[in-house]
Amino acid sequence: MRLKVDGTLHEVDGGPTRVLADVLRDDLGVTSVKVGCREGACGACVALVDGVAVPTCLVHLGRVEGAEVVTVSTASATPVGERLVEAIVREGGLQCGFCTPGVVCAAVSLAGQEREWSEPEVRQALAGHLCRCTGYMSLVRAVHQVLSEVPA
Amino acid sequence: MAASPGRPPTGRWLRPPDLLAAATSAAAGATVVGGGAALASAAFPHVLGAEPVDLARLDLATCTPPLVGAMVTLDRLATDPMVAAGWPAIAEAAGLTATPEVRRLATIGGTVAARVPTADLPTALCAHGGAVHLHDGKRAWTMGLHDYLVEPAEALITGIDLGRQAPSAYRRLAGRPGPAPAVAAVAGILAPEGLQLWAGAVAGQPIPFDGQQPPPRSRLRDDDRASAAYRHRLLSVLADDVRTQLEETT
Repeated sequence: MRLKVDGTLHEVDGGPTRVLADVLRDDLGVTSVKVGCREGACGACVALVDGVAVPTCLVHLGRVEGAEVVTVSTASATPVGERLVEAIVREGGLQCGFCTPGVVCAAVSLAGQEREWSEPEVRQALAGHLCRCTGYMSLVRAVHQVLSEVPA
Repeated sequence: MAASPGRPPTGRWLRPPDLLAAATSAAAGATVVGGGAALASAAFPHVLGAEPVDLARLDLATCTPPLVGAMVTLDRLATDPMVAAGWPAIAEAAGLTATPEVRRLATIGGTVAARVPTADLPTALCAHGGAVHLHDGKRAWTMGLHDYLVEPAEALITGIDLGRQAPSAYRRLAGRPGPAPAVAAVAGILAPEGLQLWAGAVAGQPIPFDGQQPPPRSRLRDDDRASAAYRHRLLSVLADDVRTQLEETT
């Protein structure tokens, strides 16, 4: 089964009902994708599949055959991704780093919507990401700052 | 980190070329994959069969209310302006389901088919009088959504009729703010014949009630998340909230 991850085409196997998060971590060594809850509630495994931020623990491999998967490695290297990383560091929006890859991927996806975002809307949009270190305020502030700079 | 579910992988992933082929496979017992979220989640029993039938490539994602294709995502349902205007409780319930990321995966057809008692959407759909469009490979037919939830047909869900347009509202209470399963929920619509309320997340399926009294405690779930007595009281509060919201709207 073919899968494009961060621009590189891979042949993966093991059956179409494996979940994408396991394939990324165990087969391809993409350990920036964290596995926390396996039920789509924590956001740690979020990556972009064909541009849409989704929890990869809930995506079967069969569904994404031929799809393009973008993880934080690529997302954080985009212009908006670089600004997000800088803002998260500046605002103190990380400590252990477990939630950071998922948050960055989600925020890059939000920036792609090219609309105006209020802070409550950002908070709502990040509601699927659990952070046990910084308490969300700094994360929301950082993401809101960057989204405010993106032309609507 | 959660332990790996250890689910055995299966060998084939079917992508039927058309609706008839998909419905035939479903009628033969294949597991239908809509968004796939509940089928992959460790929160739900493992029901994925040996040959999942993936509907992603079929033309079932058209959202033309009141008819909504089975593959329309909850995110789309929550943000569609026509749904928000004509079926507000359904838009609200869709927007309160799980997390934003899960809503981009989960579909209306999959949500109905999963028949999860704490799901938000079925309660709002029942309040509007929604119906399920089905196909078993031989014939297509429609049945009331509540009837389907009580006794599902062995057939593929091809679409959902959202029911009648009316001012409506949806209120829920969960164990914590943000994405969490509801302990109790109430959906209400202001129909020409008066306010109609449905209680959700308190039993196996949504329960209609008259707005004066919630359903009797004997019909309500009593578990480690909440007692039946608490849910009974909660339904009264949520119903008042829905009533107030609808009075302000109209």
